[in-house]
Amino acid sequence: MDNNDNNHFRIRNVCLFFIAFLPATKIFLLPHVLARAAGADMWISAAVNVVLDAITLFSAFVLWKRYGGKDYYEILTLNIGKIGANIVYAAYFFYFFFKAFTLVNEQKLYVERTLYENTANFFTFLPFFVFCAYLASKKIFVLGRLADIMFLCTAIGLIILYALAFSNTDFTAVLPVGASGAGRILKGSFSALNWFGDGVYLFFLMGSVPPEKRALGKLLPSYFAAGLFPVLCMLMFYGIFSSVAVRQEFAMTEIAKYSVAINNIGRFDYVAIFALLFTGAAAMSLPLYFATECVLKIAGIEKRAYVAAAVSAAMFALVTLLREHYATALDITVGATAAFYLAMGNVVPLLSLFLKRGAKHAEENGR
Amino acid sequence: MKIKKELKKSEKALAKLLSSDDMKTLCFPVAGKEVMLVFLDGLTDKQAIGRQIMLPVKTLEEVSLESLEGCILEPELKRLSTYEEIRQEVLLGHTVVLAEGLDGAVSAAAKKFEVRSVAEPPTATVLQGPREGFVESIQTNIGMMRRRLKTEDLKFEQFNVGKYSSTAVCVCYIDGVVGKGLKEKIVKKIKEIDIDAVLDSSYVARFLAEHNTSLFKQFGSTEKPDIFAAKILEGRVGVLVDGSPIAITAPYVILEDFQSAEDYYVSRYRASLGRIIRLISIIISLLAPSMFVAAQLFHLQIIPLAFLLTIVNSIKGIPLSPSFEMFFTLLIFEVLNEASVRMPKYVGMVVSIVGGLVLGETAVTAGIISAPALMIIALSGICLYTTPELERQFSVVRVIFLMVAGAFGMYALLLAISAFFIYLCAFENYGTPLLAPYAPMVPKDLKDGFIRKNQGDEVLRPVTFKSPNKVRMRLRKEKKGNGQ
Repeated sequence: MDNNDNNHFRIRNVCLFFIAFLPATKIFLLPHVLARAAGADMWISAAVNVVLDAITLFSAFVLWKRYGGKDYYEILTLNIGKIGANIVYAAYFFYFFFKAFTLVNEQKLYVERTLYENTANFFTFLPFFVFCAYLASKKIFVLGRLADIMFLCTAIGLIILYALAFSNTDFTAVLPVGASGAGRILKGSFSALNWFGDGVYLFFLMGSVPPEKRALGKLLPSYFAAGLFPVLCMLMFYGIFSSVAVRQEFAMTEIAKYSVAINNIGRFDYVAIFALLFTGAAAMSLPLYFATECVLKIAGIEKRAYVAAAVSAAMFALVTLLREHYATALDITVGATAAFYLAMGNVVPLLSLFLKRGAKHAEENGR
Repeated sequence: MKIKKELKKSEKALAKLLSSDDMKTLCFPVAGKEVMLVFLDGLTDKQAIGRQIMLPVKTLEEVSLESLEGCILEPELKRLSTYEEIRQEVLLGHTVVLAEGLDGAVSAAAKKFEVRSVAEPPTATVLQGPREGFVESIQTNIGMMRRRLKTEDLKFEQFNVGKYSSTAVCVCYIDGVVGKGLKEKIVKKIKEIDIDAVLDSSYVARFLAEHNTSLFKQFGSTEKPDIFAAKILEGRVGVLVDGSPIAITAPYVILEDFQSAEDYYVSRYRASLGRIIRLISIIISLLAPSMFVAAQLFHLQIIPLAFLLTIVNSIKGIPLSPSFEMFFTLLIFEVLNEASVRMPKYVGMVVSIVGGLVLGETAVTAGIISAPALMIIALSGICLYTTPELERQFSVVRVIFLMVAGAFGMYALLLAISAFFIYLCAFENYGTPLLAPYAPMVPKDLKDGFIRKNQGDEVLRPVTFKSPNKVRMRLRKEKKGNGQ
């Protein structure tokens, strides 16, 4: 492969992809969900999920290494046949689609309740679906290039937000560690599965990432760096609000607003919030992007834009239909369907380690 | 059609091919044979024709193509065999010599036409660095390039483009440095151009573009030979067009419009500061009007209280809605902009006074628009001119952002910005990403990015342009003991 080829993901792109997009989806409603489930130990629940995802990421890495940058669909086809690959991809389509449903609804709720508290209407959130369709219509290398730019926004946004919130945080509020008990911590992790499961993205990116040396040494640290932000957010969220954390719906707008700096110069935290919304829009669209990818593979369709539009339209229809029942949908997401997210986000990737057929052949070709 | 030996027949044939009043023929006897000169009035230097062609030809004792070629005192001679070739040469301003009994002709480039003298280009004035600018004559421009890059590897491939204009279009590159396959692609596209006339380099640029519906330009342009040479040295291909002082280069990256010629002649700190200021200016220019409208319409909570009170006081009694007010002010600004560009210079002052004082001041006093709106549009307008090359594209983007913010508010504006970035990230021309070296990030090329490193650090050519010759600088270190 030409070293100058710009149309591929490099490992660096994947690392920046983690930092740019992974933290942005976990600081809206997730702290509220986790506070409800795990109380003061909500940060441990988040950390457990980060570790679980690291295992998924490692599985993806092993497979990627084994097959020398082959597409996941291709690997599945080699091992379980085309029908089997289609079934796995169909399952992933639903996984991404319903993952997106929660994230999109969460974003919608955030936008309507925080940004447009007086003027929210049906059209306020409509542009998001157009945006989703537009992003999903682009080839996968665009995500890598976006990450190259957006990681800076995410990092700056989070650093400003945390810096503003730091002085109001009482870290002793989370002590003693583990006071909520293992049961509540695990329940928290279980509830948060829909927001995590990010290691799966690497399975869908692996076909675009050419083999590189010392990749794991770059991937894991950057993944943990990206995972550190949400864990820190949970710590600060509980450190600021303590027992009333459950009543705070959107951590992002809440954690920094009591800063002294804000009293002097206005809602300076909105600079950080807008930076995070800017990257968050792309991050929230990722599940729909990969859902589109699944449809394209299953149906063998070339016209990406049509599928992207159709998937986004379907999501719009679902969100509109269930707009009055979001609370119920959220309860289902963090309850019964969490097992499905665990299966697709963590178990299936782990099972993928058993895929070996054709690996040697691929390795030889790679040489 | 082959040239006939009979001069009368040739005269008739040429009269058919070049039937125009400015085509002149001049016949005179030489060694018992009739010799005819054909040229176009206005394109040729008559003194040179007399001195360098007629006088030596008249001294000949025998008329043949060889003897004609041997006696004409012009360095640029060409032997012709068909009437079509004669027509072509005459239209280029050359003088063609035909003689009775010869089935060929000789063309001599005794041409002279008025050209603008080399001067500092009005679009790229500098405090430091060369002040020469390209002119409308392609020969002069090629000469300027040759003077800068004295190497046999500097190649010029010339083509005549345009059914009626037959304009000289010259592809310029450095052999061994130019990006792989780039020159071939551009030459192929130039050969495919079928157009009535090429009156400016922008005509060629349109044909060389890979995306016809793109909002963004796909070629860099410059009027300065030093910038042109620097771009060619990076592995790009340049195109010079006769009649145009604007040279185009490909591939294009958006960063190059944030780089000024002066950046390379001043300290790295000043250059970096300049580039960052240009970037901030563009951000302010694109976002200030739309964010102000979105904040006023949907998100008052993000405006600090003291500023909010100022705004409330100033918009009191304004009949227009914030978005319409901003549109109206922007429209006035664009109208003034168009007028000041098109108007003769001596009335330009009037436009400034009418626009700045009468329209602006009076509109605020009359309570039609508010002072903050006027100030924001003025700021946005000025900021956009820090990168004049991007002014046209970004003024369109600014209007789109304003429409989105006015209709849907800040969140939709953020989505629009995000979508704009996606568009830019996906955009490529000749295999080069528009946002390189930032997206995709090319760490080696960041040395000449918004933060400029020392020129001594730019040892390698930019990776982005895929030059096969990667090294552009070797730092020779003195051996120990040699130095005093």
